[in-house]
Amino acid sequence: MRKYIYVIFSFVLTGISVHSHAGEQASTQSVQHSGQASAHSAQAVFSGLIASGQAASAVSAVPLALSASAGVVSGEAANALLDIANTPIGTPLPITEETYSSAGPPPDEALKGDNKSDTKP
Amino acid sequence: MKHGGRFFSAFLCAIFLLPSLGLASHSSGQIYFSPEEIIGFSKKVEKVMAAKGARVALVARVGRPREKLPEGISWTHTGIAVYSLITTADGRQLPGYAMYNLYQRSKEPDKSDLIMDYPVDFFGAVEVLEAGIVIPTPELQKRILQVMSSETYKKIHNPHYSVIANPYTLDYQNCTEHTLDIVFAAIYHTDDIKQIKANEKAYFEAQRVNVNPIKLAFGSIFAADVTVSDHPGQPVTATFESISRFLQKFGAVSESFTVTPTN
Repeated sequence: MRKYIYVIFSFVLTGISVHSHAGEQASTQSVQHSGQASAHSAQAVFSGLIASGQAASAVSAVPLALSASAGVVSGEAANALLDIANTPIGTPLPITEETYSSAGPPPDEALKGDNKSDTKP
Repeated sequence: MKHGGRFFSAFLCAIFLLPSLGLASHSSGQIYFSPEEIIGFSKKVEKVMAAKGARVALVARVGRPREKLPEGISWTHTGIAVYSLITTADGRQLPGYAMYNLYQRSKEPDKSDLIMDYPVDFFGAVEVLEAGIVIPTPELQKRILQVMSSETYKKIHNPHYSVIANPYTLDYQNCTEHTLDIVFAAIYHTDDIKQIKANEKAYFEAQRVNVNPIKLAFGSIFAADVTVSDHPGQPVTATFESISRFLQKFGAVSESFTVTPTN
């Protein structure tokens, strides 16, 4: 009988332990940790970098292989980017030295004019 | 004293064993490295992939200490990196990688969304600065790109999330299973999820989840994002390692490697 009591006690404690951890939840770290890493404080850090000009707020991304046909490449770098879009897979690709994040721009920037990026998280 | 010992054992079991599965251990979005370290590492990952000409790569991260992961599982999240033209809030266009992910919701952990972010966001809250990378063959990259830019990408998403989703069934899906489904949709040019599952059953060997069944059963009771209902026997799930092995076996890998801050 006592054996069963100990087993039940163990299960109850187990439940308490699990529940207490569940309370800390923001993103599950487990067998698969699929939580959005950029949530909460991590996002806040990158928002700070954007505010200080160390990182850019990215508002969209289009696969470069498709950019040419989609007509989304513009500006001075258009020709170079179109060349990249058409190079065979496996050819070394350029990467910007800039850091970009899904964090939105600072609120004061977002409030200026018709800045569509103000809907970013 | 004897009884006290038993209570103590039960207490230890409760405090250490179940959380050690990671079944209910959560992050609060805490960062473990400085922003400079994360930025430097993320840029290194981008440059390595770009130097190899990868338009598409499967990328894995380590969201919690390796010693806390079940045997045979070294990575906790997998996403797909796509070489892209990134437009910034101030209108500039930059060449870099976008990360395509299935993320579970923070407030509803048994549900997921498809979310695109960027390397610094992807690695923002990792506990180990290490990336697992598989670059598919050019033909598979081309086909994955076609899937990612079509309705199939969203169509094969199942928002019902389980951390140990059975990749052979349609009940639940996690990040790696969604990645696997994209790979199969690309290989077979199909958006028919039943056909995708049939092919996965025929050719893909899932990873056994080496966790005590009793612990798993209790995890499924107390954690919304854990279920064993889709596992008729020994639980199996898709992992970065098992997807990598599958691609290697069928000659669909150009390169696979890990990136650390020092290698």
